[in-house]
Amino acid sequence: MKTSAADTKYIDHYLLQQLAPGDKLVFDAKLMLCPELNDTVEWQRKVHYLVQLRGRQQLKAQIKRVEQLVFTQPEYSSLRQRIRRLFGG
Amino acid sequence: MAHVNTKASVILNFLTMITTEQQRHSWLLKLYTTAFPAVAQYISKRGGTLDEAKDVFQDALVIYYEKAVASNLQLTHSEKAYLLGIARHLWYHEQQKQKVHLTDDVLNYTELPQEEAAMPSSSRLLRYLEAAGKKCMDMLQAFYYDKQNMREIAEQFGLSGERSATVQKHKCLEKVRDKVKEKALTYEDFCS
Repeated sequence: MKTSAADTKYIDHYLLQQLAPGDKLVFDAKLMLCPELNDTVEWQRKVHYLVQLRGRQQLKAQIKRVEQLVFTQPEYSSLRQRIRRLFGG
Repeated sequence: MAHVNTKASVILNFLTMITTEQQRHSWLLKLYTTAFPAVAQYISKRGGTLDEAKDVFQDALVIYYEKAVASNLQLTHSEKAYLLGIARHLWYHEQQKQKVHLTDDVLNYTELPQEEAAMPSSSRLLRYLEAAGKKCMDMLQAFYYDKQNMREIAEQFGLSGERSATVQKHKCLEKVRDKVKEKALTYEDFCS
């Protein structure tokens, strides 16, 4: 079954909890009656998860780069000393 | 009260200006130099190590960023105080977890996805998607993770306007969804 662009958009609203309560109830019922639609929703949910995971991984990598900068560059040496003293270094 | 609202709105306005990696780098660097010493002091006084302080601070920054871009953050104190509060909470839960070996609820509190549980299949899928369509993944990430609006996405990706960005984003979503489905079904060990 080919999913239309309108369906993809509607599924997104469902996953992002942007549907009105009544519309959500109707959609929940459709999901129970239509396994193919339910599958499409689950694949789209997986994409949301993967995108969140990727975003978080990239943010963590960027934080690590900033940390590396603070703990290696000369302009942060006094900050480093202050921090290391806290840990007896 | 007006002072508190002004402070919060200044911080949120600043976050809405973070649309590039360089802007986010500057923001993170500022927080590292202003807030990390207080977090390090807190952890050291409780017997933690410098590496533990770094780990806690990293998680606190992730939580703060995600809450701030989702626009559900109402700060009543400075960013430094807020980050220290998150760090205290994370440290407390980390200590409890080590003491009693119970399933912690800190991930529920912070709403972090439990990435380790699904990591093998997810990391494989992400590598595949990166190779198959980095631009689409960048666009979806800008919308779903960094919560940029369509005007910002249009500017960032060189599109003619919000309408064009909306159409492109939906095409990317469909493309990536179909690729995930196609690829995932070829792996026996993939379970959603």
